[in-house]
Amino acid sequence: METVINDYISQELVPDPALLPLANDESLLDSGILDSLNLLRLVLFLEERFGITMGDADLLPENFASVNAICAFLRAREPGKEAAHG
Amino acid sequence: MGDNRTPRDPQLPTHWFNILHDRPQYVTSAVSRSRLAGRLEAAGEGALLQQPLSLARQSINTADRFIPIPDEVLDLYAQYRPTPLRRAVRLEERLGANARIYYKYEGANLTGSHKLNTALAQAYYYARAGVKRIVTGTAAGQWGTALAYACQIMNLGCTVFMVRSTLHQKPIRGEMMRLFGAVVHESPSELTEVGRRVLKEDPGATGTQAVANGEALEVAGEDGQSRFAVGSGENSVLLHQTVIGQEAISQLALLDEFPDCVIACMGAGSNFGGIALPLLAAADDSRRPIRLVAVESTACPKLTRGRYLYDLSDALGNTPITKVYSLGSTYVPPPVYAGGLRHHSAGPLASAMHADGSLEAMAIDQLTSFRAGVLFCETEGILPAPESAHAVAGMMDVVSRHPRGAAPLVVLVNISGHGLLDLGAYSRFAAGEIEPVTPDEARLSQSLSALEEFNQAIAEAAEAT
Repeated sequence: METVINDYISQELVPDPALLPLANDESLLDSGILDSLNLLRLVLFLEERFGITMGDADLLPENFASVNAICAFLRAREPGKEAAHG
Repeated sequence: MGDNRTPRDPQLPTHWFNILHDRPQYVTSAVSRSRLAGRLEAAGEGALLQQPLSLARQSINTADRFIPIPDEVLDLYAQYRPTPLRRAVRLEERLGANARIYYKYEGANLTGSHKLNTALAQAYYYARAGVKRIVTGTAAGQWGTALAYACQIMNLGCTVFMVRSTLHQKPIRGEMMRLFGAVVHESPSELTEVGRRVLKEDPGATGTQAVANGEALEVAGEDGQSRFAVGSGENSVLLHQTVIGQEAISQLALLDEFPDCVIACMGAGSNFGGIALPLLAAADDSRRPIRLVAVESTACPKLTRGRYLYDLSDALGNTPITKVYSLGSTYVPPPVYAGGLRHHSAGPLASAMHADGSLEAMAIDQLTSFRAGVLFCETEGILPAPESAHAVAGMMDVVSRHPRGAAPLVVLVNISGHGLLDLGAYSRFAAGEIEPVTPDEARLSQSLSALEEFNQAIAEAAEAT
């Protein structure tokens, strides 16, 4: 799961090659990688890739703080999804 | 349905109409600010999604032609919808028009304009997302009033930054918002970095929608329970307004009519889109031609004189950078009474429609619009808001050009709000104190140049990555 998400963010959302390679604990918010538009793109990607549907309550900054945080959030809400999709 | 609910009229639409299903090419073209970080002064620090995810999805949904209106919102719509559709027979006679003129009147609800259609929907989605307070910017005050009311009944806090020039023109708007429980600030204000920056440059700044939005965004970011909302421009906002056009189709069908031409004023596009989009689709479905005319102010001629480029919609630079017809986010229009038409850019959807020729644009000066508003009041008994008076003036222009020997033109015009809080302006008109207003050409040229430079930087950033 970490690799899939890191690859997507690195390839599609990171604005500057100087920020690569992206560490899984790198802050996606402080680094400016995730603005509102990129957050929406990421949500749509995660939904399609992992077969989930996110709601308004899921959109908390702490859930998207880093690749590790995203993975922890997904694992907490969708137990067993990683084995099926990751 | 419970006993405590207002009965729903059969003509009340149960779904919003989504034009993005029919025309997916209208999905907003945007540039992520993160692509510009470090390259542009105007690229802000970045803000997380301000809209609830459910609203953001509505702005990009191309899968569903119709989107169900939540039951709670429908109950609230039922309190004032369907709105009246009438034929302006006396106006036709006065104009000697070779036309049948119909108008849809959106000013009869408590807050006085079409803005309530999206305010109720947005407050519902924000409340459901756990937001405690909505912060917004408003120009003429119709949006601020509607949102204040919607927040009141959804038990949300509401903070409104209202453009200084319009708040001074009609302070009663501010009082209405306060009556509905909102905290109202004049913009630019000393409360925010954005406001202080503007006031430092020009202590007498009249304010703009872009600055008011920038202040609202800044305040919304100060705590974890507040979010920013907008009343026009966003695709989701236009979606909510499509109840207007859907009702009009049903009401005209009862009269065995379908319009040749639909006319509405253009701020960022919500009342225009609300009436025009369902009719555009209905015309497409039945392979009928239809003219859609957007009427803007000569003080802020974004469609007729702007550039179709990427631009910011707020002064802080934290909203998405979208492709729009714009005069540049630094453009400060002269303070006309139609404050709702002073936004420097049209919304992305209306802009895309103009770019592909689906809508025509015309600019009307405020003196002409007041004349039209008074005539409409004399003949139809409704005083249109200064914004809506632009639509009436545009309609009169279209009708006057229709050939005498041709079949009568069937016209539908949207009267987006009443002008009862603008009586001071109408009094000034009656006293001969209203002048035509045109842009300061030097400032306009400067702003357009800055916009082009901004886009050059975007192109360079794209090349670099």
